[in-house]
Amino acid sequence: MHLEYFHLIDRIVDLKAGERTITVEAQVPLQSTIFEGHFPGYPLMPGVLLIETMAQASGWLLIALMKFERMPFLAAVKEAKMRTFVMPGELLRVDVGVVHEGSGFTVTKARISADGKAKCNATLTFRQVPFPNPDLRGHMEAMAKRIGFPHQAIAHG
Amino acid sequence: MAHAAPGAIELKAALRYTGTRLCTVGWAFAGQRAHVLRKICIYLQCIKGLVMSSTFDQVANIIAETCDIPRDTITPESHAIDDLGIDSLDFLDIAFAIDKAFGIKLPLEKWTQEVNDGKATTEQYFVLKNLSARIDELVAAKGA
Repeated sequence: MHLEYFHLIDRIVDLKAGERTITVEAQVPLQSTIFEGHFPGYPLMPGVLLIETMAQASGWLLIALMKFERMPFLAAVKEAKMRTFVMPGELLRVDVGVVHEGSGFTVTKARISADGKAKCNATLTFRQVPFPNPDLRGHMEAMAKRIGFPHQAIAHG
Repeated sequence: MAHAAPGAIELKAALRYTGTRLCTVGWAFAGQRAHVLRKICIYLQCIKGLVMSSTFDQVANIIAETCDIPRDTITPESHAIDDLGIDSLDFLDIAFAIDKAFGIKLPLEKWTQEVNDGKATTEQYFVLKNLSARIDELVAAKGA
């Protein structure tokens, strides 16, 4: 995770386009200015960043399902539950599945765990639109390369 | 109208057995067959009407629940956007609930495109009686 750049996903572990699921890993850093304020003397990963982590993991799945032709934008967060604290240095696993593919929107269910223990989960809705400009698409493609986006999963999905 | 839904369900169930009933009645009352058939025709018309209104009731209930709008203010003539003030984000929730409830996929993107291109009006898709009719068409197309 590079919290200051809002890059929360480190690695795609598994992406199954056919089953519409993805598993990613995210390493919470040991140190960050965020922890200085949240909270002084008791650093915790903020819940909103955990929701964003689930959203980004969902986003990579949706980009794969849309074959890099559209960009998903987070539109709604429902049933978000922060079950146990996430501390600096924890290795998170994020599992996402598609609940519903509508016309121009998709609903996912995401879950974060660490060492097999549930940390949080949420139901997320995304609107998907054509990439608003080539810069964003280029950025997403570069990012995909960095986190091990399996392009073959799209081709053979 | 809250009491209409269970009636519609009973009649829908009866519709499934109409074939059998028609045969049985025909054998038992051979002389009155025409009369019985007429009655069945009227009966089927009633069922059609109830099934259609039931689509509207389901849609209205979904809207009331999703958008926190009092159910009694939602009528078949209500325009989802202009009268009920539903925005596009709330409509995603409504579309999700309708897709799930009816096992269809509301073609929102196609409709939006048609409205933007001036090929359709929002009334055609977002006045609730018209939306209900579109849903019935999509359900029928799925079963065909």
